[in-house]
Amino acid sequence: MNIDLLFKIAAIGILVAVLHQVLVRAGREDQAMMTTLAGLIIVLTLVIKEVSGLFSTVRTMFNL
Amino acid sequence: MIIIKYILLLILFSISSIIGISIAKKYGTRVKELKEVQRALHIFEEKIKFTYEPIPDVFEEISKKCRENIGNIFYEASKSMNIMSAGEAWEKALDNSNTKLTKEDLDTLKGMAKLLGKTDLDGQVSEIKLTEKFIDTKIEEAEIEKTKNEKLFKTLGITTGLTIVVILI
Repeated sequence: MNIDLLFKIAAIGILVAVLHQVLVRAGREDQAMMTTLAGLIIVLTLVIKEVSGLFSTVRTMFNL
Repeated sequence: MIIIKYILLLILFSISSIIGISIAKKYGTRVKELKEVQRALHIFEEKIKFTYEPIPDVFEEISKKCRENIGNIFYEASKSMNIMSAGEAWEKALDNSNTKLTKEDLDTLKGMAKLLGKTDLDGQVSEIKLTEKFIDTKIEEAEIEKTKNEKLFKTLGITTGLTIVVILI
């Protein structure tokens, strides 16, 4: 597994948190919610490959 | 290849920052321009009250005293007053102006056009005073919007740029 992926996810997390705070302060809760969701989806698309790799490893390990 | 990638990312980041900052700047510029308009109206009122100069001359003088954008409106209006009536010239100058004022602000200013150069001194002065009062409330609104949005859009532009760069790296 590449360690860069972890750093990338951490950076996205920090930036999304900042965006959320800024938007909430400006009284735009809806958009803050949307950015959080968007961040979540982006991170999910980044890790989905790793998750599928994990599943296939487990399957081959137990011969399922 | 890697250098090109990083240069492109840098360009992407700067573009989104610039977009954010320019949107933020719009709010500040609107307040400044509204204040400038108010000052101009004040000068106009005083001139019309005490000097009895014709409106085109007064407008030309105001255009020299005000900053570029607002001064231009008065200059254009005073120029077109040679061919059309004062009210029409004022409306046309406002329509052609290149300012950050919203449509509502311009409509408020256009409200002055109907009586411009048509009534006696008192009528015009009271009309100008009314417009000044409207502009006052507009300035308050614009100030509130400025404090609310200026910082937001600046941070939003920079953070969005950073996020895109991090995702694409």
